[in-house]
Amino acid sequence: MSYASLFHSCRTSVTAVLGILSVPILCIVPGLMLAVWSLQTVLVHLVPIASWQQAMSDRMMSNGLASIVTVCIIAPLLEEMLFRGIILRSFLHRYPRRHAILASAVLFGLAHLNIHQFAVGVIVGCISGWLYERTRSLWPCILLHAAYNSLAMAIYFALMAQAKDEAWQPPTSLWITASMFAFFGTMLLRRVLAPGKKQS
Amino acid sequence: MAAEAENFPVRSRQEQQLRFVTRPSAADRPKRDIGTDKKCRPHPIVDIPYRSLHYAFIRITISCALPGALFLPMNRQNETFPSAPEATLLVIALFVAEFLIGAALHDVQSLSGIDPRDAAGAIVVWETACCSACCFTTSA
Repeated sequence: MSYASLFHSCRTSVTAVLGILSVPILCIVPGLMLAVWSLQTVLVHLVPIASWQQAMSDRMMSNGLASIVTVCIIAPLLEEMLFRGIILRSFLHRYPRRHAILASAVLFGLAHLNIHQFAVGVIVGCISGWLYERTRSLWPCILLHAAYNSLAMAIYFALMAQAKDEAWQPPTSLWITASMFAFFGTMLLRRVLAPGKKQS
Repeated sequence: MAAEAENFPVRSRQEQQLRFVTRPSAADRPKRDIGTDKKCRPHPIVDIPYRSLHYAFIRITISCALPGALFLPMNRQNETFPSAPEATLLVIALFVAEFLIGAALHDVQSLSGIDPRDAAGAIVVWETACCSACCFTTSA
């Protein structure tokens, strides 16, 4: 087994897989981000973020280009390789597919080492795991993960520039637009990756 | 005598050496036992064509230098690593490694000038990379 087959063991080419799936994946990212944002708001009310945790997160983000490259490119590549390419691949051989996807997502959440990112990790891990199970390619998962991290980072920098904190709430128009895109993206993904569902 | 000379022609030393280093044709080469599984392929390093003694020497040297796991053929058993308990232990090992590296960086902070809080992201990323590489080596 080579690294090439680890990243893409699908019969269809990488270009074709990404060409078909990148639009729906990018469509669901804003909606996913807003849904996770709402969940995190609830979690922060229940379990407030410690000051040292916030300070560490701010420090990690303040390294300029190095932070951007690490968070948006290197981390998605390596994390997807470990949690989907190695762990989920093995789980799919051993356990039923739903259990395998959920277990790998929980491990992915646990690896983030805090309750707030755990929730994000489980949700993103489930979607990413489903993508991997359907396509047997890591590239759609990496695209989803990288797009999510990039959007989160962009929002973080935008809020920092406006000197706002987590009390910011997205406007209704943003909710509606993101939901429409998410619905469109989900329908497209279902149509492409789960075509048998409708017939059965 | 003439028939014997025809069947066993006398070759010069150079010709014999040339014949020795020439790769035998596909039909002459012994077929490798690659198992019944279609995914079962020998590692590329094992697939070095046997041409001469120095190739054999290189092959033996590489075999000794690299871990044996690299030479395991891809089969069903390797594909099922890690199981759920093994994966959980793997994540715990990641935490421990992160903690140890952070502690080590904290101790040598005055010498290295690197604040472990600045390097936290890099530590996590490189740990994940090392863990992936180790798992891949074991499962491949």
